[in-house]
Amino acid sequence: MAKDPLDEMIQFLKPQARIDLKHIALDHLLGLSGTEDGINVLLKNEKIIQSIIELTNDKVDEINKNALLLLVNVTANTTGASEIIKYKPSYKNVIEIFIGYVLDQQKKDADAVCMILSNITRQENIVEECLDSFMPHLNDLLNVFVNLDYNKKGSKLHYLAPMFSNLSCSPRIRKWLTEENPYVPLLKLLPFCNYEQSVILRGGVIGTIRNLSFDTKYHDFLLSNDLELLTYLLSPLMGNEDYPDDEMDKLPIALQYLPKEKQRDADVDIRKMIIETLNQLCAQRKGREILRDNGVYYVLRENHKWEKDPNILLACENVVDILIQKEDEVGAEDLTTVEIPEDMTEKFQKMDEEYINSVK
Amino acid sequence: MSDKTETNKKAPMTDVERLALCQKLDEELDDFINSLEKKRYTDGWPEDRWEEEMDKHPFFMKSVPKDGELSPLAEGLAKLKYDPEENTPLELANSYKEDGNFNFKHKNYRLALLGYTEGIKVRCDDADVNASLYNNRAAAHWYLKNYRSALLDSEKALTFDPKHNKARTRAANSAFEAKKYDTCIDHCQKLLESKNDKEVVELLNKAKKSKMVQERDERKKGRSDAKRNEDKDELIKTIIKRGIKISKCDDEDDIDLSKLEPTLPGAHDAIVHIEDGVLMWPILFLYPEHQMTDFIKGCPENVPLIRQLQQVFPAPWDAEGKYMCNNVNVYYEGYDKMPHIVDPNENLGDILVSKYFELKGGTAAFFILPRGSVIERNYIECHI
Repeated sequence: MAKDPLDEMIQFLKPQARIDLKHIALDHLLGLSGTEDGINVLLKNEKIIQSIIELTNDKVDEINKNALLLLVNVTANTTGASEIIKYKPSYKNVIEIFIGYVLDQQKKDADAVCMILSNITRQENIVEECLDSFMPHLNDLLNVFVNLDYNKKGSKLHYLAPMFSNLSCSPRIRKWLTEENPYVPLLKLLPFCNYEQSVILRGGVIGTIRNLSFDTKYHDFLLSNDLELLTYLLSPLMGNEDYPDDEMDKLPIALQYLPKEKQRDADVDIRKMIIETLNQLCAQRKGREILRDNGVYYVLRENHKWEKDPNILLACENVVDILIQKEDEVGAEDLTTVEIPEDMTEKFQKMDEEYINSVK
Repeated sequence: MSDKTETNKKAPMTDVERLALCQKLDEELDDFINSLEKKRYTDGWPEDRWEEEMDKHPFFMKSVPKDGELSPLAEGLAKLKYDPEENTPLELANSYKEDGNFNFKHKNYRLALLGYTEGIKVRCDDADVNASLYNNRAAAHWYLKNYRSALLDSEKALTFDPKHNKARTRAANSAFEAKKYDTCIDHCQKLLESKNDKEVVELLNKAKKSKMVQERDERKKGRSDAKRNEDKDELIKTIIKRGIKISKCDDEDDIDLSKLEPTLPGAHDAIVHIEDGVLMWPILFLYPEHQMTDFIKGCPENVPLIRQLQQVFPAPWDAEGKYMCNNVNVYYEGYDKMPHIVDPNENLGDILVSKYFELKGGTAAFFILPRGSVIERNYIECHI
């Protein structure tokens, strides 16, 4: 069996190795992790990965940082992510170690840790596997997330948002998000839908809501009065456009008579996710009625006039089409239960493509 | 010298003799008392009215007598209670507090205010007493619906005792009534830190909702104000663009809505405005012969003046039918103080920019005289 050249490195990566040697070795490996092939090479050597994980807790900040960045690259790769979670350097597994870093107020480069967690959770099969490691720490992670000044070493921890979004693919997480324990986690996340300083954070929170909306059993909860979901969801879609008084009165109070400076969210993906969420909320009759009562149609109408992206225009029209109809025209209590024959699906897809191309 | 010592030594009394002596003294006393005049005791309260009398006595009175007059004894007692020389500040403060509480219980809130205020003025050192005084005064203000004062006093109480939840609750409620929703929300949240109270949660939600409505109303007002200003600016801009000369305006920057305000009584809502890009002016027709006038609102600038004349002719005061569209001359008084004739077939807007035309009182004024008449000649001559 050919000796793995990386084996030689291992001695330089030991915690007690000389600092400058550690640096050089780690730098080299970091460079290696920049390519897909490089990652595959790394993954073949268990001991290397183990050493790197241990180096994330090194006394020297620079070593920490490089080790973490290396892991960010590795976990961005799908195989990398599945491999990493198998490691259990001490009595804690890798996930628990990383969560521990996030909860450590003094941890430098905690942002990299958040990126790692976000990468790992991106794959649904992995989420289910490591869910048990996450569950006990969910409330703590949420508290850390909403506390904007939590990390004292300059990390903003914004990447926790996409992590939550990824986690919400799991039914257990969705249950946690929507139950009082002692408060409802989603309530704490909602205000961040409008957090202007970070697209990542906004996107993650809105993504979480979008995932929730795919599960019809949470629609009643999502559209309940105290949540004021529509206030947060519609705001990024609204600028300073004028509505006639009777339309204005139907909008949620916080969205009425917005000031001149108000602008729509500049990020295309975010706008798309919001409209997809609205689309999902139209599945049931109750949802449709609530959306109509809150003037969602008017907002989408104005948005359609302003929007340039063809995909979003299509998504917008889809929702408008549903809302514009009267209930008897819609024809189904719960649209998710309607069966669509395969040939129709193909036909619809083709129509969509044509529309998108025509708008471009 | 003769020594005669009397050794009249008395023998000690025996018990029998002592007893006999006591009896004799008792009898003598009885005889004496019986010999005194018999008089009835009249100084006390009469038996049938003793409760009434008791109520009047300052020691026992339960309320101030209706005429407000206190007997000297009562006054003296009162003075004693409130005398700063007889009492320590703490005692004084407590006395005033009791006084306030007494009135409060009887729903005399204004009197209660006075009592508490005096207690506060004492400025005793005890934080609890001061907190109590302010809290109670806040309560009195609350029932008098002085919500701002109730809020101020509640918060003052909290400076002496930050854990005084009753005061904080009152502060929250007063803030709500005074429409200071942020303050209310703040107090509610502090209250909920120590105890999860359903009523406080309700108040918090009510305040949040009211705050949202208040903010919405402010935005709405801001918008309509902005629109009004925009319209005003648009109007002024349009008038400037037309090049109409406005009286009392030295240059374009001088023009504002006040100078365009019609000065005639009852004409306030006739001020010039824009409709679909067309200026609509108020017009005044003057008929010197008959000392009559016609005031017409909203005349479009792009319509000939003669249309307006057609509206008013034949006039009710014109019995002879002398004033018809085709036999009158129309004049305006220019800024040179001279009359100038206009062609009524011209559009109003064009007439307004005539060489000597100056708009006074935001109204276009025209003098109407029968063509070739004596009146007309007189009118022209008196200007020269």
